Amino acid sequence: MALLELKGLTMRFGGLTAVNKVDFAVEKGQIFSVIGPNGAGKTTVFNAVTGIYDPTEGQVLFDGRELRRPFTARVATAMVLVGLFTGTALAVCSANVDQLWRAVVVLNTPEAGGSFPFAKAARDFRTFLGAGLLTETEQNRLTDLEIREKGGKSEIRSTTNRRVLESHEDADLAVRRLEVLKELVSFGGSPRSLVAGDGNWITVNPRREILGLHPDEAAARRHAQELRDLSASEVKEQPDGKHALVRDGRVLAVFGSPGEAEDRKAQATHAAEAAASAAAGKWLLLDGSRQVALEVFDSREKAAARLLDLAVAAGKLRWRIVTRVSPQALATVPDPEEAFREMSRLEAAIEAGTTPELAAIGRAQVRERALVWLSLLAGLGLGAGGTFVVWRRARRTTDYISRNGLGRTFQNIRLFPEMLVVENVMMGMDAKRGGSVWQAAFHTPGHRAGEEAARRKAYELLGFVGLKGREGMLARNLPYGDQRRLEIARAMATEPALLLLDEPAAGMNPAESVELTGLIRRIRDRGITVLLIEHHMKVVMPISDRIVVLDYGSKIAEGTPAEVRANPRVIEAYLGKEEVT
Amino acid sequence: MNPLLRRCWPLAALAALALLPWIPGVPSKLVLQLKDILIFSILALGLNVVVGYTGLLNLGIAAFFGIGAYLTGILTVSTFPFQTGFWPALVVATVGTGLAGVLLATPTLRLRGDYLAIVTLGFGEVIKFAIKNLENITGGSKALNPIPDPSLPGFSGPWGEKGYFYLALLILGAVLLLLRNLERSRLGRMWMAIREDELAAACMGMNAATVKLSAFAIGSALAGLAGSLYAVSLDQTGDPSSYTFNRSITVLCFLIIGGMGNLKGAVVGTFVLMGYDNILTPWIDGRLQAAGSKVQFGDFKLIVFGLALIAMMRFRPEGIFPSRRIHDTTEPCVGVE
Repeated sequence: MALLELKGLTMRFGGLTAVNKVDFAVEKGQIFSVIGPNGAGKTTVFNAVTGIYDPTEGQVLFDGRELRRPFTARVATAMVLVGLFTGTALAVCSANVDQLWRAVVVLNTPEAGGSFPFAKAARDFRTFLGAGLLTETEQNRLTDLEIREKGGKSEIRSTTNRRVLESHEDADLAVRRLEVLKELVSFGGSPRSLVAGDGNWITVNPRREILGLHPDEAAARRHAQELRDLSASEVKEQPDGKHALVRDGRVLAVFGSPGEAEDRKAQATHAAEAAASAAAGKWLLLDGSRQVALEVFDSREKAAARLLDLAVAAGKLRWRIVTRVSPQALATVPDPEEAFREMSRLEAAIEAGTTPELAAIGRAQVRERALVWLSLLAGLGLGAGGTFVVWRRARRTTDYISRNGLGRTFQNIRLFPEMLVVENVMMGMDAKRGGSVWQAAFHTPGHRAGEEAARRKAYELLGFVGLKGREGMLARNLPYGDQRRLEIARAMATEPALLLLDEPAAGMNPAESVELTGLIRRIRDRGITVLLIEHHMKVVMPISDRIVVLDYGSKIAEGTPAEVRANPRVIEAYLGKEEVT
Repeated sequence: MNPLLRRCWPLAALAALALLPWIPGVPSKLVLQLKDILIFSILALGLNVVVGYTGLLNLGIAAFFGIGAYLTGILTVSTFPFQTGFWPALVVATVGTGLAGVLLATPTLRLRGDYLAIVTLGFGEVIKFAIKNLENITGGSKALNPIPDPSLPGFSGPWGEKGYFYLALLILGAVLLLLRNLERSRLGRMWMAIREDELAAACMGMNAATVKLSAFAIGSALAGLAGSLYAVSLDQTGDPSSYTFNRSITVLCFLIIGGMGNLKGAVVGTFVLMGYDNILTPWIDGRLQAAGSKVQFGDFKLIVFGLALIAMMRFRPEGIFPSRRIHDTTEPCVGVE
């Protein structure tokens, strides 16, 4: 079977036919030449063979098959992945990504740590995309707590909904609790000042009221002792006319009047059995100033639950039911369970279209859902289709053809001018050599060995084409003839089965041309088939096994050098027709 | 210059830089400014991969810088649930920005020269407006803050300018080492081949698309890395105007002054230009003020910079350090025969 076979190759550029139905077959081991006058379409044939152009008509068969990238599983996977990505991106963008982020991430972020509610976030994500109902919490700024005497008891209740939060028989205790609860309710359900108790000490009384917050045990014990002393002390008038609180003969504090001293003692009575307690393993809620501990909890979740319950009970928090398609809240309710019930009711109402407003929201939701689905599908189609088009257009490209064993040089030299000579040749090998970015970045031993082998081979090839000793030069500093030889070495580095040489003798003097014919023979002797385009008859005739002659894009002759030389049409093409008069 | 000196001076310069904060009398403000210069050197190195090696003009590098900074912000600040801490955020920012680079490059692979430049320019604008307008995600003009200090086992307390200086120096050193390795590898050659002659490279079997993608990915990833460092050293994502076209052009100027396609050039260019802008100009102004002058050198700094740029283009268009290949080395390669 022929190594390279052209069947009816035609190239048209607009109205111009550059190559017209050219057939030829290059057998393995041949030196095959394509000759013809300038503008005969020789280089166009080369470009069509190497994939720079796609043939307008006809086939280019290499080893009996057309070199086109097959449709592999990788291409299919890429189509699906790109499609999914584009689809998701479009769908998310069509639903206002900023507000989506707010609804899903910002509003669900627990304050002061805590775990992120993934299930709720995922639900919110779906609801937001479908323009369904969402809840937003809102703080009621007017909520305050007050104490009301009722039936001999002091009740602490909310000014907003009149609900009683706590009731105490002891009026003093009620006053103290009021301060604590006010502080807790002001957090509005979010444990902003929740700290781990580790390292902290608190003083508490048997009613679990927190009396003080201390950095270490000694301070806590001192404070507890001080409080116990104060509660057990007596008011005594001092010689200087002042009044002091005294216990067991020890003066604890001195006041100007007996009333002040009595007040201080009364304040301390609830601390009669104050004790120091380590807060390790507990969680403390501090007030806004972060100086005073309000309550202590066994876990962070319990603290959060307690705050939420309090905020709901006091009417501090309200739940607004909103939807992305309508600017106003559909309802505002005071607690989360009711919000949940209200949402189900509203959903049903929207479905049924009970009022014109709700029906309009229902229609808007349908539109929004349709838009999201549409953008998802459009993105999917666009991404997958685009990937397919890109793959299709890149089916027959130069790099794929080159990797399958077709090396070439160029008529107008195309080296990498700012790279070293040896690097130019190594570039020829690089595409076929494997190796990851990581290996290269970390200079692993395997990578270094590969580079070393490539460099040795490059030196060998440079020696083969006669560029020994020029390895470290810049390619652009080489003389013209050497640049041609370097191009050949670079093309040979790709390990081609077929080497295409595009006018290698152009610009060479006769001595260099002779050298070149030797080189081409030696290339063939290495087992590489050579396809040659050339003007110089001195180069072509002695070395070619077979010659094809092109003129105006058509094949006018084919045969051995002797046959071609004798062909009158060839002579006519080269020298012009003899005018017979 | 003798070969040993030529090979070792960049290392010596880095070592000298590492010792600088310990010299008595060095103001902490200088360390702070040097930290910024180090971070922008990483950014310049990232751009160098795309523009210098591969020859693809990228005018949107600041966008990738911004993506890195904001990814770090989003992953670390307490208003969002992620709060991963700095180290994972650094990795995600680097990889994520690399992916963003791939996303931008994939549809634009067929474009060359001016067209690609316009696309990257447009991408920069898109990111600029996205940062400004996606207020719930990026914090808008309020920025995302505070970004907590990176945690290190056995070390607590504020990092300070010295800590960030050394972090930036360490990462810059690592980036330089990896890029030097890449530059001398198969991948580095393929990048340069694209710059030199894409068609010829494709005819040698090289898949130009993959190679361009890899350059874009690595360049953007480095920009993201720099952005991440920048954000954490500021404790916040900073002003959105830090991530605009202006910055892209400034970084491109670092490369042009320093020398395209050259690691030393990228770093030295950054040091020269940022040193002039942030260190030298204030110093001269201080001197002038002390001498009782009413003239501010700062008012003229851009004029001087412009003139210097023109002079540079006229007399040494290849930059301070030309690409390592401009000058011929006929010395034999080491290790072969």
